[in-house]
Amino acid sequence: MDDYLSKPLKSDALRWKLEQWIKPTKSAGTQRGLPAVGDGTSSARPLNGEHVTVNQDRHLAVDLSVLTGLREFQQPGQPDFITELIDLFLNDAASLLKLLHAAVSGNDVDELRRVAHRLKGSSSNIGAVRMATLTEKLEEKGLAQEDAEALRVKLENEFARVSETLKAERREPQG
Amino acid sequence: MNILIAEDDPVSRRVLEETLINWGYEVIVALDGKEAWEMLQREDAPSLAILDIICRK
Repeated sequence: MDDYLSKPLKSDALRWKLEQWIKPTKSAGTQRGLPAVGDGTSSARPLNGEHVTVNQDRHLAVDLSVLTGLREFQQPGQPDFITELIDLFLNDAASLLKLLHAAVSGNDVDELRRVAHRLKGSSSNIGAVRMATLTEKLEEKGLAQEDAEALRVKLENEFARVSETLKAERREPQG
Repeated sequence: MNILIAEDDPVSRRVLEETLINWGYEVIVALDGKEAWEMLQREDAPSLAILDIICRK
């Protein structure tokens, strides 16, 4: 390994680091509205917000400012990028929740931590802040079976709320 | 000249891919470490790889 960046990944840091190693094949960036490195206008936009802290409303299932940030990556004339990300998340999270259920039932702490870690990252990236907090607890504590089961049920309920919120954010002709 | 992304979280992977394409890079994607390793062995291996350090397999 020649170099590294730690998460949460910031687009400024990534771009600066990349350009030290490899130049783009095509010069696309600035023409598409992305600021050049070091011009000070794109500070701290999270690409992978492992620690989402900007949740104004504690009762909100999804921090919508995270979705707003992701909308910046929309390309003109392309299918709605947020809708694609929402669908990726919903499918992924549903699979991970099944794995989590199996891990808790089987009292498999290693698997529980592995899956919780994946789900934590995934939840943070889409702005599902309470899901991220719940999965973080599961990952860090690797709880006793009954505690883990209680948290897992909370997580399932929270996922239902998150799904509802996210589905409302999809921008695609229904049906 | 292209970049390999190995990342098991689909949302991160997709955002990273879109970002790099926007910046003018050519991107190939691996879903896990094993797939990434195979891509790096190829004759036309990418010039740079972005790996999620706790990506499984």
